[in-house]
Amino acid sequence: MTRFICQELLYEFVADRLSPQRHSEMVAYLATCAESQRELERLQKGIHFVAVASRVQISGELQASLEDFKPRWKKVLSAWTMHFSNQGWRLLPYAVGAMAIALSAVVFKPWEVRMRSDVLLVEQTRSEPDMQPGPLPGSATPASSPTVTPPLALVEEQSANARTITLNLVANLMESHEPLFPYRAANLVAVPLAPIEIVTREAVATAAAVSTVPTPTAAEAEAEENERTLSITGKGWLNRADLEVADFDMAWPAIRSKIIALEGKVAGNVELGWLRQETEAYFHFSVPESNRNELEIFLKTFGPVRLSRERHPRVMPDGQIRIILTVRDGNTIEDSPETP
Amino acid sequence: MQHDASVIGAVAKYFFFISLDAHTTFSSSAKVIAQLDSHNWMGVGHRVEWVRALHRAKSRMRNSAAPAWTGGALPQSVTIPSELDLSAWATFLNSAHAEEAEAVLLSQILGFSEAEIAQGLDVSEGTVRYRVGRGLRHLGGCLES
Repeated sequence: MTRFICQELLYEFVADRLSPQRHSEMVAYLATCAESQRELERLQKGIHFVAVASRVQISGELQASLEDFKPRWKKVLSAWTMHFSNQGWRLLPYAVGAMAIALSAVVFKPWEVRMRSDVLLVEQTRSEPDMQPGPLPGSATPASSPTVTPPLALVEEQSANARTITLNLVANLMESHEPLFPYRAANLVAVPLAPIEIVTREAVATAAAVSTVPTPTAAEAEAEENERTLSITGKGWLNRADLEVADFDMAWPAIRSKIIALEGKVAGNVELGWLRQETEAYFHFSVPESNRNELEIFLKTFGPVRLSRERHPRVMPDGQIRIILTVRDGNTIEDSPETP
Repeated sequence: MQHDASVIGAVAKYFFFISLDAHTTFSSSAKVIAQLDSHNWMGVGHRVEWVRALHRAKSRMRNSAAPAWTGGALPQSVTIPSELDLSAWATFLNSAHAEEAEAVLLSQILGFSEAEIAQGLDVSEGTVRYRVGRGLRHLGGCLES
C-alpha cells in the first residue's frame, strides 16, 4: 500500500466497497499516514456537504413555469391563430400556407435545379478525352511563367473529338426538351456554347505541340473559389480526401495510375496529379461509385486518409462520384493554401 | 402538456448547481426539457438520456465562465437549506476539473447511479467512481478553506 493508492481508494473505502483484505490494509495504512487521514477528513466533509445540497428543492413556481413553457414564437403563433379563428377567418392559415409555398417556388425555382443537372451532365461527358494518360504533371508550367495559351475551347477540350461529342449532346438535349421546355434550350445554348470556338484537328495538334498541359490561371482559381462558395447550398456531393505520404515522388504517380485504372476521369481544369507545389499533388476527378472502396483501400496503403463530404451545386450522374484528393509529402508538411 | 415532475426537478437542479443563476437555470432547463420531450424521454426509464442531454447542454452553454456566488437572492426559484454554504460550492466549481464537478453533481446531489452516469457520459463506471472520489476530496478541501 502506498499513499497514492490509499488516497485513490478512499472513496470506495468510505462507501465500504473494498474487499475485506483491502479494507484491513487501508485501516492499517491510515493509522500510519497523517496526510491520508487529512484526505479522509476532506472526503467526509465533501460527502456531508453533498448530502445537504441534495436537499435543495426546486420551487413549485419554477416547476410550473418549466412545465408550461413554450417558446415565444409558439405563443405568438397560437395567439395569432386564435385571434383570426375568432374573427371567423378560419381559412386564413391555409391561405398563408399556400402563399408561402408559392413564394418559395418563385424564390428557389425548383424547375431550374432540374435543368442545371442536364447542363452539368454535358460538362461531365465532354471531359472524357482528357482522361487519356497525358504528359507527366511534373512538367506543368507555373502560372506566372510565360506560356502560349491556346484558345479557350482548346484549353478545356484538348481534342476536336470531345467538341463533337459536346455539340452532339447539347443538340440532343435541345431536341428532346425543347417541345416541353423551350426556355431550357435557350439556356443550354447560352451557357456552354457561347465562349466556344470550333477547333479543327490540325489546330489541336499544333497547339498541343506548343503546350499540352493546361496551366491554371488566377481567373480559373477564382472561378473555382466561387464554385466552393456556391457549394453551401448545392444539391450534389463533393468528396474530399487528404493524404500524407512518406515517399511522395513514388506515391503520386502510382496514385495517378490507379485512378486511371479505376476509370477515373479528370473533373477540373488541371491535369490529374497536378503538382501544385513540389510537395503536393492535386487530383480532381470523377470515378464510378463502385470503385470507391478499392480506391480508398489503395490510398490507405500509403498512410492515413482524411475523408470528408460536402454539399456542392454540381450533381453527378447516377453511379459517379467526384473526388478532390490532395497528396502531400509527409516529410515537409506546411500550411498549404486552400484547394483551388 | 403533463411532464414527469422528477425530470423537471433533476434538470432544474442540475443547471442551478452548474450556473448558480436563476435565469440560466430556467432558460437551459427549458431547452433540455423540450428536447427530452420531443424524443419522448421524459419517463424515468430514460435516465441515461437525461444524463446525456444534460452533459451536452452543459458543454454548449454560452457562458462557460465559472460562476460566482455573491449570496444574492434567487427569487422563488429554489429552496436552499440554511446550513448549505453555496460560496464553497462556487469555489469548488471554479477550481475543480469540470468532469469531477459534474460527476459529483450527478452522482451525489441528483442521485444518478454510477451505471447511468457511465452510460450517459460514455465512460466506464470505474472512471465515474474515480471522478466522484477526487471531486468529493476537492470539495472537502474547499470547505476547509
